[in-house]
Amino acid sequence: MIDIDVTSSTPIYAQIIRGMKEGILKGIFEPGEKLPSVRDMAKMMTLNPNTVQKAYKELEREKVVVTVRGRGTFISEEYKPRKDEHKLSEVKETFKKGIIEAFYMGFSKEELIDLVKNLLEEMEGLGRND
Amino acid sequence: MIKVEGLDKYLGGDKILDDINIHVKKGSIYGLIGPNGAGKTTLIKNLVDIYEPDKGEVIIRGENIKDNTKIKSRLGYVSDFQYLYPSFKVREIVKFYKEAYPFWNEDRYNQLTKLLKLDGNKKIKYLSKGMKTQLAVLLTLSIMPNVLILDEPTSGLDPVVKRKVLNLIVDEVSVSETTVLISSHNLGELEQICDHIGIIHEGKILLEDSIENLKSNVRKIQVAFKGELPDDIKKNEHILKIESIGRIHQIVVKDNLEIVMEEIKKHNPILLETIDMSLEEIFVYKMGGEGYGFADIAL
Repeated sequence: MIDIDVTSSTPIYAQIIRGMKEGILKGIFEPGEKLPSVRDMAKMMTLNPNTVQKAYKELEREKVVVTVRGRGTFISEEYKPRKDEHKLSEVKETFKKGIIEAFYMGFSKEELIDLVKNLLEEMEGLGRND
Repeated sequence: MIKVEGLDKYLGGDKILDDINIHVKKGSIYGLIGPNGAGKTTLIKNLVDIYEPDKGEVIIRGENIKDNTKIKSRLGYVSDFQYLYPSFKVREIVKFYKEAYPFWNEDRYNQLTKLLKLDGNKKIKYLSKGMKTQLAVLLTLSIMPNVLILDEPTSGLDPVVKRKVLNLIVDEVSVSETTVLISSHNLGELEQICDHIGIIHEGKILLEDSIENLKSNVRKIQVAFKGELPDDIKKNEHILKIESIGRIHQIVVKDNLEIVMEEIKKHNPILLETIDMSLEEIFVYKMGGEGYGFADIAL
């Protein structure tokens, strides 16, 4: 469900958080949808339940998910992405790597912008058709 | 939950364990990592009161483990080799466990046997190695342990069985908040389920920390300048190591990534990025400074 690279220097809980957010963006998880319990998630991916718990807590703190006592954890209905300073620099770094690759492949500036536009449309399409 | 303080152990005149100190918190999965002959099994045998420490003590759930049947009745132990009577049938072993452990839970056992499709009428000697390990793990889980000590439970198992065994442990921790200590000579095998690790080498604990801390403490930066690498970066106190290939320099930083990044930015680098490091790599750098080569530890 979520790609975890245990050998990466990104802590596993941070990878879960990123994976969940990516899932929401792609429409794999919908607002109001119930998430697997910490126990199921840990078993499904053979991860330490404390790590999964930590990721869930952080997602809750960021208001991406809400936990209803006795019912479980759900994707928040009113999750509004916000641009946080620290995250922004991470996003920039990710883009930069992609841009370098594209330039090496001989993309022009205009072609690159088109590429980004197409990707955005593709993702929006995914979200709607789900 | 598990606390070892100043433990020494001699076997056949040799000092096998030298001033061992470890701490395992409740509900944590602790990986004890070290090469063959480092003292993992000896330490574990001290933990479960098979060996008696020559110095120091083992405290489990606040009490000294020595001859402590109360603590041991809920101390799960899977040894590196399964000493189960070969001519016994599986259900006869179960009877044996039932007699020995006061908190034995039959429902739990039945539930787990179904999950693993284990035939109670089979004789132990006809079980494969993987099956024997799984049987040992599920017998141990059925005594309702609050501390679980596993000596290389995954060695020699195929990936599917290995995952099954690890999942049994993971599930146990989620449901019962069991404290787990698990040993292996292979760090990669435990990395995904452990939250803390202790590295043992030649009878000494070289390092004990949470995986998260380790990962955030040591980072690697890749940087390139138009000219030479500026001198004041070379001399920066937070840098563990610099490796240069042409104009590209890979810099390993301890603790103060931000400070070093700021310092580098002042010199207008043409390339500046942080790159991923595996836990194994991190050890190389952490251990390198203490005179241990990676090959010595051979994880």
